[in-house]
Amino acid sequence: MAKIWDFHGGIHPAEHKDLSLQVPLRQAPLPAYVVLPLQQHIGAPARPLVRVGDKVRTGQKIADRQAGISACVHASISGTVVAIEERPIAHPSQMQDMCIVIESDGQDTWVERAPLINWQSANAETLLAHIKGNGIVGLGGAGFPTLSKIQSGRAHQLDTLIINAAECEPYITADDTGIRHYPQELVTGIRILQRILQPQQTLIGIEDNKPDAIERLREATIGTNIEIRVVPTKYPSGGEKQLTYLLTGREVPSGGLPADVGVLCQNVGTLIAVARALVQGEPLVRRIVTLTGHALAAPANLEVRLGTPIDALLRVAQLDPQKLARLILGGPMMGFSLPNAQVPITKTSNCVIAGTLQEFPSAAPEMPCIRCGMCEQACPASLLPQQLYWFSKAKEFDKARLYNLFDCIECGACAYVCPSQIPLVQYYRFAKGEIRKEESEALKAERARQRFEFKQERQAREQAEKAARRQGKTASAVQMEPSVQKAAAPASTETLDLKKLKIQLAAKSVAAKKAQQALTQAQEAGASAEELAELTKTFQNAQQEQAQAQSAIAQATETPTATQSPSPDVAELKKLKIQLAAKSVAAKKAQQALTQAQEAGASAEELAELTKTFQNAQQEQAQAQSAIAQATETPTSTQSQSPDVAELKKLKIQLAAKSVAAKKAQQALTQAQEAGASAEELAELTQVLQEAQQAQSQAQAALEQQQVPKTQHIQAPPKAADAHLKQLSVQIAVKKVAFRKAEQAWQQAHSSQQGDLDVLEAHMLNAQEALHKAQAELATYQAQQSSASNKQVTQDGDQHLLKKRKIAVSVAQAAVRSAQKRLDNLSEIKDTPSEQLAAQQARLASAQAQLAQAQDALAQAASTRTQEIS
Amino acid sequence: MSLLAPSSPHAHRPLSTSHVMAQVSLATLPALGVLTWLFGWGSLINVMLAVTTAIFAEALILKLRKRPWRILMDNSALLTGLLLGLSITPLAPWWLPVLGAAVAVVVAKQVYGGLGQNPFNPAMVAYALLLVSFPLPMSLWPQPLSLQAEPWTFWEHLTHTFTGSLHAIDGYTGATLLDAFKHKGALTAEEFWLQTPVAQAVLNATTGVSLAYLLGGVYLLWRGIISWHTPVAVLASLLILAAFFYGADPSQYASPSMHLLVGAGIFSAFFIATDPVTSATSHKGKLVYGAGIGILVYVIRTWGNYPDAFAFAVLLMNFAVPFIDYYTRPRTYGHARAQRGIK
Repeated sequence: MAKIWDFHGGIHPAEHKDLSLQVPLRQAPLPAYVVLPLQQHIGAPARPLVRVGDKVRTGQKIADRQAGISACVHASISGTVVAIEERPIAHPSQMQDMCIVIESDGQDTWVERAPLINWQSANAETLLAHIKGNGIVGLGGAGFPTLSKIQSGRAHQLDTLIINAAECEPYITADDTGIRHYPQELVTGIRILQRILQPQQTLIGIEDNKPDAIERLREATIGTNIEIRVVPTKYPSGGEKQLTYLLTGREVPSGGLPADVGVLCQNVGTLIAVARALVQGEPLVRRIVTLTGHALAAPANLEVRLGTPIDALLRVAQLDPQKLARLILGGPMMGFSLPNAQVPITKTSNCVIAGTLQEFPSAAPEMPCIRCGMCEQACPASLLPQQLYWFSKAKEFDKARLYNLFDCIECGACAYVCPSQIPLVQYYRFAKGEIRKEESEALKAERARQRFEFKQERQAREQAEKAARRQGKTASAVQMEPSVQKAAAPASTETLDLKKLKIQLAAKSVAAKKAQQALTQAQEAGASAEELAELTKTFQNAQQEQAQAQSAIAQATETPTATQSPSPDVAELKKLKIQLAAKSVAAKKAQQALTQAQEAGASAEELAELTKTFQNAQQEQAQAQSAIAQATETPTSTQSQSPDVAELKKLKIQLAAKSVAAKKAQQALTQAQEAGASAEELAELTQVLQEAQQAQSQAQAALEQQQVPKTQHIQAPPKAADAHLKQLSVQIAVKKVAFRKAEQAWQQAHSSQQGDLDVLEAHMLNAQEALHKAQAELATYQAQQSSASNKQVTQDGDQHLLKKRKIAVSVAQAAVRSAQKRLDNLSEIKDTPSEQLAAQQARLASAQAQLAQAQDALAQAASTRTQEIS
Repeated sequence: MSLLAPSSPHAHRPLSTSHVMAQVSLATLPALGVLTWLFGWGSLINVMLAVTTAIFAEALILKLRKRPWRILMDNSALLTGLLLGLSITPLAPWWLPVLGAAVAVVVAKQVYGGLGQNPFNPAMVAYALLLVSFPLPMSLWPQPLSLQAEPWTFWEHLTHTFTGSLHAIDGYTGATLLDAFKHKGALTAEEFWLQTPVAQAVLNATTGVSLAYLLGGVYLLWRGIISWHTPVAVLASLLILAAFFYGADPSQYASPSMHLLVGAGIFSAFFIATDPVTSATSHKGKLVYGAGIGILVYVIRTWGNYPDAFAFAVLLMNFAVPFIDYYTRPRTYGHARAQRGIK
């Protein structure tokens, strides 16, 4: 007797297997129609080869496999394709999927079968081609395409082939029945696989609760090198990982496959299907399904054509609808419940349980966990289910992962034994789902970051162009001012004119007020969006005119005093101030209009338009402000000796203006958020804000640059290197500001749950990276500097260098850590494409290389220092 | 046709928390019987008072916290009251079990959030509080009935409990055997047994009680309500230490059998230390946790101020449970080694 390695945990639920074993296996009646989903397996869905209206014969390939992991689908009855459309499939979420619907002609005419006459002498490739061509997938439950499984197994050093006949789930007897009715086919299937894989040993793992099947297997395997290993009945001994351990004592590594320890597992049903495909030329068109449960008067095992609707089978098994309380596809431990029976049997459907309320009472209310540890004693993966439960419940997903959440096979043993009736598996599914979501979001953010980098580059370019243009404009405007002044001066001498203007203003004010009233009334009356938009426009026009009139009056009043003033500068200043006032009024009005529109619930487009108007007004206002500031500064600057000071002032003014613009943009954004504006609008506003902030930080940088050389002139002899150093420091400062701003923006958006978080986050990350880059640049530059002037460097300088190197190292370390984390995240996801993994690995490697370099540099610096000291 | 579609697993073992609590409660009944038989009605009265108070306090808090009444049906308050009542001296005045049970349920359990949330064993918190606050009435144990000339009737005992008017005369009371042995002064162990005539009778009585608890513990093990790890670790560590010191100097140190059968040894090992809420999670953790209790009990019994120390030992190890849990995680299937600590 070969050794059986007992696995930790496991449970002994009531078996109920005899329910469906009362009568022998029989063929289910041919259904009137079948619904064949294009995806009955793990991997890519098959591509239809037929069209609606086509006549098909049983066994005809109607959908072909795609490249990679996929499987083809064959017609399970003869008849006419009546639809290729989305139909509800057997899925817990009542999901729909593409299906080919065939209406039976009642004949069951087969295509010409193409068996492999001499499979005993055929080579592995031929055998695999037949497995591939007949659409064989794992019939145990997961539906992994058999071809792919064997191929991935062949890539490893396989020495053991395990036939999974454990069938540990209660109720299910499909494999048991398969063994008892088709032992020869099973053995043929095993020998075909032996031929392909050439394993050193072939083991059949079967639970000791199937004595008949064991006896049949004994008879059928006489004279073969197939060993039968009877394992004690314990759920979940049929789990691939558990059975592997039971029979070989080898543990499948976490996140790995049995092939990693030289084992390949195949299900009984799969092997029978393989034998039929190769020896009889029958593609996978039928399977054994257990129909059981106490709501059925005639539970049985039926050989069912794929695509047969479950309700047709339930009629065969004489369902009593009055008794039916729960319909389960699969076993009671890991199967899922179906909301209704109008879904088809697929390649993976091994059991349908029509349970009564007595069999499956509704879940008792969840009681608090008393940490009794029964779940831990039941867990076949040696996890700590109760700790996972606490972590999942508290959404501490990091800790849940640390406690190996992803090694949970969701067998349900913990929830089965829990005296507090806690649906533990649901908590784990939730946690896993959340973690996967987080990961995919991180991936998305990464992509968004890359997109954003391009966008930012482009924006920076545009900004620079814009700034250049704007500078040109202000310069010309300053030149133009005096001429305007002269033209206005003579006209303004007459008070009559002023009166006229005032009257005009009054008229305009009245018009504006009326327009506003009309707008309000329309809003209250619930006018259509178009009407409102029109009225709003009228109102805005009126306001604009009013503002113009106001500014005209202001000009008129100011000019006389301006003529009296000795300096033309002062007059100009006044004029600018008037302009500013007008612009401020316009901006305020625009803001009001925007707020009103928001309150009135105007459409997104309107809001966007109004926002734009508002922003323009603000910009103009800011421009006016800066113009004033310039004007104010110029006289003093003429008095000052140094042109530098003047420039400095100018820059300061610019900075002030930009700050105002940024603040305004932020206000607009906040308002929009509060008003619940749409994501696009928010994104737009955010962009405006970011631009403004960028402009601000540029201005700041320029200012700092300006300040820096000045102090340099005074304090130290001009040194090109120093200047560059300062420039780098300034850059860092700018980047820091940018990063902080981005972070703030992201936090705001995050806390309000509005706006495009992805973009903002990407921007933040980007800013951070830029900052790090700048820091690294500084560090390298300083390193170069110090190495160039190594001889003169004092110990202090060396220390400085050392510090910089240390910073460089820690920056590199951070990069490595983040790369590692991303890689970990990626590798946790089962179906991450290998290229992506490889790319991430490469990234990690380069980060590690950088780290090594940085560490080298640090070590060098350290050694130089010690040498010097000694 | 549209059915409810709950997620897997669909099958559930017919075992509930209230059933677990009821089983544990049931397992204490032999000992309650033996206590009543050997020491009089006091324990029964204590249990009734403590259980009533505990359930009443739980109900009050549930009402204050606006929790559903079905929580009361989990039998946890019943068990807490029962365990406290069993551990208090049969001569206790009525307010000892009442105060203790109220503290156990309100302060030690519900204040933390109710069942499953309390870090400390409620019954032991209450016991420790009573022992520290009222050392005299707590350590006054009656002599076994076999030594009493005229044992109290139930009504007499009830009167004593509520009024204290019937003063227990000197012959009825005495320190526990552990206490007496601790304060044997210069006497050797042999002389102690010779000079204390009642000692053997007391030893017999406590042995009976301990065996009754052992019976209940074995029942719980058989029913799979508790795992063997904690009780075995508690008793083994206690016995090993006792055997070591007894072997070194039998004239001064109490024998292992005395450590095992006198005092709360078996009771605590099977009924207190196994409290799932406050003990370690994994099997390995339970072994560490139990061993810690056994060692602390021996240390306090032998060199500490208190004759018996289960309450303190259990509470101290309750403190250590999160730490133990972090470092005794089992090796997950498919992992090369168990992870330790938390990053």
